Amino acid sequence: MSTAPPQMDLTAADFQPAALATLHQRMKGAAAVARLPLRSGHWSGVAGSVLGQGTGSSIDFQDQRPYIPGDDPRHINWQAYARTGNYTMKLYRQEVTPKVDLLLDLSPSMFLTPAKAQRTWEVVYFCLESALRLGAAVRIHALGRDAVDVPLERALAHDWPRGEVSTNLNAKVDVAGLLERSPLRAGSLRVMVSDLLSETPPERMMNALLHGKGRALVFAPFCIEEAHPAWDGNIEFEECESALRDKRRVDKDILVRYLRAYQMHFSLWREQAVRRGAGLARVAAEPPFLVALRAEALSAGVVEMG
Amino acid sequence: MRLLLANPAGLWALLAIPAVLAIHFLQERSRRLRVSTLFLLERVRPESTGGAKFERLRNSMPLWLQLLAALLLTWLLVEPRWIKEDSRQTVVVVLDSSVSMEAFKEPTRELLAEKLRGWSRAAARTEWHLLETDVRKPTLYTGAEVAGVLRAYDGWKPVLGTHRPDEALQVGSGLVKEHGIVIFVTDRKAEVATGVAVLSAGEEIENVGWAGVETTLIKPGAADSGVKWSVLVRNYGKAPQTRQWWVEQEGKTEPQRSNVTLAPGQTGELAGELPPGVDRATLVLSGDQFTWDDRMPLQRPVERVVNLAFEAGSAPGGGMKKMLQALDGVAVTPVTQVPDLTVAELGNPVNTDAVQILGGGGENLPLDGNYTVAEDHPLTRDLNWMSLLTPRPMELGLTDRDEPLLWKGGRPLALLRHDLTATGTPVRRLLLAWDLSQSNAARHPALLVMLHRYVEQIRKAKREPWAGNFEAGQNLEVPPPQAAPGTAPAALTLLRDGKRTEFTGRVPDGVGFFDLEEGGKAMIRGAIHFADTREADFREAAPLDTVDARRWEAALKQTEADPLTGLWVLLVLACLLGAWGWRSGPARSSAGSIVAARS
Repeated sequence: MSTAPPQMDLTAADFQPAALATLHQRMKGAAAVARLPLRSGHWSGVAGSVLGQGTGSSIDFQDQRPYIPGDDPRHINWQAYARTGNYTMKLYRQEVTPKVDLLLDLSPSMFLTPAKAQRTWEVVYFCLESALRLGAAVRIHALGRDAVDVPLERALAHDWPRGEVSTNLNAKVDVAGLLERSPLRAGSLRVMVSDLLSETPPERMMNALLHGKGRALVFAPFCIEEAHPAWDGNIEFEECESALRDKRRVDKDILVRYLRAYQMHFSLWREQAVRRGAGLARVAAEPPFLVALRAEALSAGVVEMG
Repeated sequence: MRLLLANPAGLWALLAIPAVLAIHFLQERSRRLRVSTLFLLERVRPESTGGAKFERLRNSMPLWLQLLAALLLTWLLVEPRWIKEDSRQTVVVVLDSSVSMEAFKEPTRELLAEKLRGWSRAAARTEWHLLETDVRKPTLYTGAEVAGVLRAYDGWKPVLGTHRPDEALQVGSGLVKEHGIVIFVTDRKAEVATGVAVLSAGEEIENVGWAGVETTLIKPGAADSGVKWSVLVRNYGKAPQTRQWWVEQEGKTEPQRSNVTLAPGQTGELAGELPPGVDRATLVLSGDQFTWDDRMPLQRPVERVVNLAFEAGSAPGGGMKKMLQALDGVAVTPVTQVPDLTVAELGNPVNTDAVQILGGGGENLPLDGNYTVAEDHPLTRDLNWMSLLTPRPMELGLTDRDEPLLWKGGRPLALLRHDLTATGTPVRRLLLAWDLSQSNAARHPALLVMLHRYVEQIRKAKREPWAGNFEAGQNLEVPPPQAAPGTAPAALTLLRDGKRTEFTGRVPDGVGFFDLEEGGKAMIRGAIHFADTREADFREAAPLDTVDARRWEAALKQTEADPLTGLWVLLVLACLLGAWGWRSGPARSSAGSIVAARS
């Protein structure tokens, strides 16, 4: 059981490159233990290190068939010709480079608490590092005030663009709209890091995420303040994204009904993910990173280990 | 079974309810909390359209538990007791008949009503008695209704001066059998027996009133004489007082008003005259809370003069004449007139009441050294005769018509002899059996007082009309009504304010005028004034209530405690613990259970 790392101040308004570098180093270690499920599924694209869905030039035998004029003569099975006198083709699996579109929700709710902010960055760098280890072509989309593509080099240098991605506290982030405007590559794996706490219907979000024959994985960081709030008495709630306020008295009944609504919200997300073949895992902010991944991401097939 | 709250002050605990509500609604300030999103909270908005406060009330279990605890606590604090079905009690209310009670009649009624209603709840059945300390009056009320007691109280009028309530309280104590109380209702502190509760609504008030009157004829004996009057007016309070005063006469509409200013405790004197022809007038003082001493009726006095005839020319007769003429209302009768009293020497025949003395002129006799012993007789009662020096008295033969008054050495020194005249008229003769000139009788007060009493008896027996000024309720001796042979005696009736009532031997109560008539013929005309200055002094008046303490004692006997008290105590503790636990525990565990169920 690994211990929890020290908390760092990594809120959206204060991207500390040094802190991110430290966190990135730890995620490199984590990526050696766990990884995104890029090896499974069928990929297509330029040659790379991951088996594609067609025939190629890898060393993995796939099939054999009779020679058809036009086939590459280098793949004729001459031993079989010697035995049978017929030209037989030996087919191997194609090796391709997976395309990964990393989508990062930079709305203020992602950084509600220091723990949740840290877990958000940890998930981002874990996904980035895992994709890079598997040789994927990674493209990063920051969904903040607008949808902005972040160059991979800057992300690896922990130099996140601030002005472009910081959100305006007086306007709620329309993650679904930003997602629809993001230039996702066809057939890519879309890895979205978002807490999913938006009124947008999961169906619309999932449509945007999966368009262009893509696959999707969703990591949803959450903190205990959202999942098990200790609300009691008169509370003036202030929404961190819009600064809207709501005064109310919270008692046991209200709290129970909130928890039911919270549970129902993610149930809808899970149902949509299952229906659309996407992976969805909620990642708790408080436990150590790998412990949090094992809790749900592993069983949901969003990460692989071993 | 009916319920009795032994400690109604416990109802103050109900104030805990608004206090709890205030704590829940007003004092709990909102704390600001930053959250990821509000849309999940908006989904759990209250479903009803009621007010926000009602929603808070409905949804707050700790609040309901605390309110229930407050109610149960109130129930425990008021000490409820169940009245036994067979419980009985007797409540005797003894009203102080002192006129000073008139000043506080209304506040006393309110206080009495409150206390009696409390007592009516102390037993299943209550027998009520309402008495007053004026033992001549009948019981004011006996019955089973508090309302009856209060109605009788409304019709009650206190008329007595300062007096002891002991006799009435003793009667009241006798009425209370096993359970009950005697309540003495007065207006000042009172020393009563242990078993008697005292209730007073009195308080110290400022009072100025007439304190006494004296009237004299300007020309005594003249029919058209004016009247000089002199009255005392007193400030009984603790602050200087100024009052208006005036004289009301019949037919005089605009009396002249004057002011009188008195320092605290000061007594002033006012004097004036009633002109000839005015028989009655009233001195009026501007009013205050106690009205009995604000009016002073004045009656032009008409005396009953006792006419004297002297038939004793000796030296002792001269001394007796001096003594009798020194008395008020005594005049020497002209020879032509029949006297009421004759002074004669022993042995001489007389046809009227008489004082008969031993004629002088004899030899000087030595003083008798024996003690003078007095009989218990109205003429000699309470007088000191030890220093009366006389010679040995003359031997008087006692008959059955004689009333010995004084004895010396076995012989009667003075006696009262009853005789009939030749015409059959009864007469009484005072016989003095020693030579007055050889004793110190002329300088001895006891003999003078005895003569005064004898003259007054003669005066009271006179049947001629007279008039005077009287104190309220004083005894008034009148000669018994005469009746012609074979007829009933004429009735004595009192005429006051146009109403006739039977004469009971006393001047009527209350300030005003009256006429006493015998068979329609006027006998006495009089004015009644209030004369008990102790009743007008309210410096000792004070509120007092020892009823409630005894009510609790009675409640213990007539009631039984709530058998579920222990359960209520446990329930209060359970509510308080539940309210505390609900706020801190259940919500958290419930949330945890939801998460657990999901995972």
